[in-house]
Amino acid sequence: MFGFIIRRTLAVIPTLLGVTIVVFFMLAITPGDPAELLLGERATQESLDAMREYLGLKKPLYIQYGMFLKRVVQFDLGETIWSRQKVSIEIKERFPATIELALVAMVISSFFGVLFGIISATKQYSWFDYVSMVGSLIGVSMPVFWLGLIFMLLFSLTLGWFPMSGRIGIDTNLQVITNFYIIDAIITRNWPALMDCLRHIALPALALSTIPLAIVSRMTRSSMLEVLRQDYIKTAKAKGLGQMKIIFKHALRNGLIPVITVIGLQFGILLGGAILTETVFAWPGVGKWLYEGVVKRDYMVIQGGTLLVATSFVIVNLLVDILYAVINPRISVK
Amino acid sequence: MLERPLLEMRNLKTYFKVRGNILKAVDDVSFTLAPGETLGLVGESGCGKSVTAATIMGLIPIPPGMIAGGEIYFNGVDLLKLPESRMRKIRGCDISMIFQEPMTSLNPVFTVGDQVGEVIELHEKLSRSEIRRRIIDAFRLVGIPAPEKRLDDYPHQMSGGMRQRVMIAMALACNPRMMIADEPTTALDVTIQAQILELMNDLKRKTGTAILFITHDLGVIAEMAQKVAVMYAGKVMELATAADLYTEPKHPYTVGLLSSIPVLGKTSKKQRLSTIRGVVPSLFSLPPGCLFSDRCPETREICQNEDPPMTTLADKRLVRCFNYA
Ligand SMILES: Nc1ncnc2c1ncn2[C@@H]1O[C@H](COP(=O)(O)OP(=O)(O)O)[C@@H](O)[C@H]1O
Ligand SMILES: [Mg+2]
Repeated sequence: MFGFIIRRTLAVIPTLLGVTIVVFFMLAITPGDPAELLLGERATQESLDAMREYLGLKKPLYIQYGMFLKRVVQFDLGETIWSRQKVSIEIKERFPATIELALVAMVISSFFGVLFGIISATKQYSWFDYVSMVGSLIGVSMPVFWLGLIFMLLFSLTLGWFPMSGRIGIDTNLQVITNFYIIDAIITRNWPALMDCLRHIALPALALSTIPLAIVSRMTRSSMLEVLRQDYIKTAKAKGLGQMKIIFKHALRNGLIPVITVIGLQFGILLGGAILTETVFAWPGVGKWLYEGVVKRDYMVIQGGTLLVATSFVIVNLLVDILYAVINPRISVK
Repeated sequence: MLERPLLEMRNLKTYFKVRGNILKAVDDVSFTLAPGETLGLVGESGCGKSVTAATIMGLIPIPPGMIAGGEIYFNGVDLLKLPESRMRKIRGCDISMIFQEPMTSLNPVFTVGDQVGEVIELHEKLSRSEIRRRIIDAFRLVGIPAPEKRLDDYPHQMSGGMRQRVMIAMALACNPRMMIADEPTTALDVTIQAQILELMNDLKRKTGTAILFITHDLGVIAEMAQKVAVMYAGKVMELATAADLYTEPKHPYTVGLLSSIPVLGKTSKKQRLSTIRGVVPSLFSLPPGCLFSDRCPETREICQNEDPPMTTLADKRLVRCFNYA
């Protein structure tokens, strides 16, 4: 198992190198002077010269790539044109917000998706099955921003249960340590702040969770239906095991194998920044930041954002593969 | 037979409702199994053997299935009347079962030791170390070499023959009174098949477990079973001691089945094995009268119109055929 993890982790390196090559050439093949592209139209002559030196533009391309790679490894992603802030710092401030939102959305959609999928599979063709399958069909086809606006209208404007937008109330005090507000509130035992954070994250997380929830519940249903037909389920019944043990131990462990891949994929997508949801709810994450970067043609933001999104996707995939091997012994032994 | 039977099945009827039709998978089947005895349940594929076994185990899905009649007394208690909670205590403990497909009958994500241990844990209150010892004992009993090591193997690390040994170990782990073996060797190649049969014969002597041995191959149980019930399209056609049945089959169907088995020495290369003409009837369109009438070489007019009754012959054997009625 340990060997497998090491091997699988090392196998990620070529992928990540590929990502840096793509990002690097994205700039290299863009017509025009890269220095101008990076600094914007109003850059002074000195700063342009400094940038050309910094990028090594006079050197051959492979040296330029080497320099780029060295900067990336040291987390030097340049400065944004807009705010003249280091890209790495902007990411450090925003990415936790995105991870937090994606995690909460994935916890909601995995838990309920798997639960609904199991109930649907064990009670195939029951009213629950029909309702949840129709519901999931609606769920995947629902535009998230529209759903987000409806949630906002209903739960915050009309009912007043949840705040409209943002990550935390302006008059809530929270000592920021990790930038994950929920974790920060827990480690500083700041319960009012925790409640406030949870109330803020509820609506965007719910809106964000609908599509993955629909996909996960469909996948769980079909996978569980397949597994429940297997011979080893017959064996489990013949042993005298109860229905719950059969479903949650013998069937689920097998049924979850393909579901985990789907969950990982969805999580990877959400980590790329839920652009619409973050924008609608004014959630200060990388999705919103990346969107603004594109609108403002801030090349450094786009470059840093692309690297971040691709890297987190690769890492999530790695974690999924490892988890996959943990629950599926047929993989890890090879 | 003076001993009180361990299992007594009386006129069991297990039907399935399929697309508006009633499919009589098991229709009026009766037999008894004494403690320590082996009964062979033989018949072509689809004749209702597995459904009979599943009914005893209480594992018929209802619907589409239904128990349309009959009783199954086990130790004097009618299993068909027991609530699911009591039935669960019997399953895997008093009556255990092994299946045809060793390759798929074990759960791929748990070690074989865990899977055998699970049934012990479920039915007996034992500590972890005692359970482990029992698993090792069970593995040793069924001839799995180095049981302490194989315990931690996953099913895919074992051969088909070894997996079937694990299944047998699992079935015997709680010292059941009765074991149902549903075609336990059908999926295995011939050498392994012989080894597993020998093992089961050996275990039967050691443990005194009664066995309901299901097979489509009369040749397989010749040396195992004391009694044999021959099934055809949901009904028992002949029930006799193995000795009587093999030396002097009475029902034309049994005769046909026996003559289609190659016998070493007796069947020469040139001689062709005879087969029963025609195909097994679909349970959806059974012939009127005797179910075998359309394939029977001795069929008469009465066979096509009336259902033959089960007749007891002088040697106590039961035959469902107008030739003996
Ligand atoms: N769950 C079920 N639903 C409908 N029909 C079934 C079901 N299980 C078995 N049958 C039917 O019962 C008949 C007997 O099957 P089975 O007992 O498995 O045969 P075999 O003698 O080969 O073990 C077959 O025609 C099969 O199609
Ligand atoms: Mg069968």
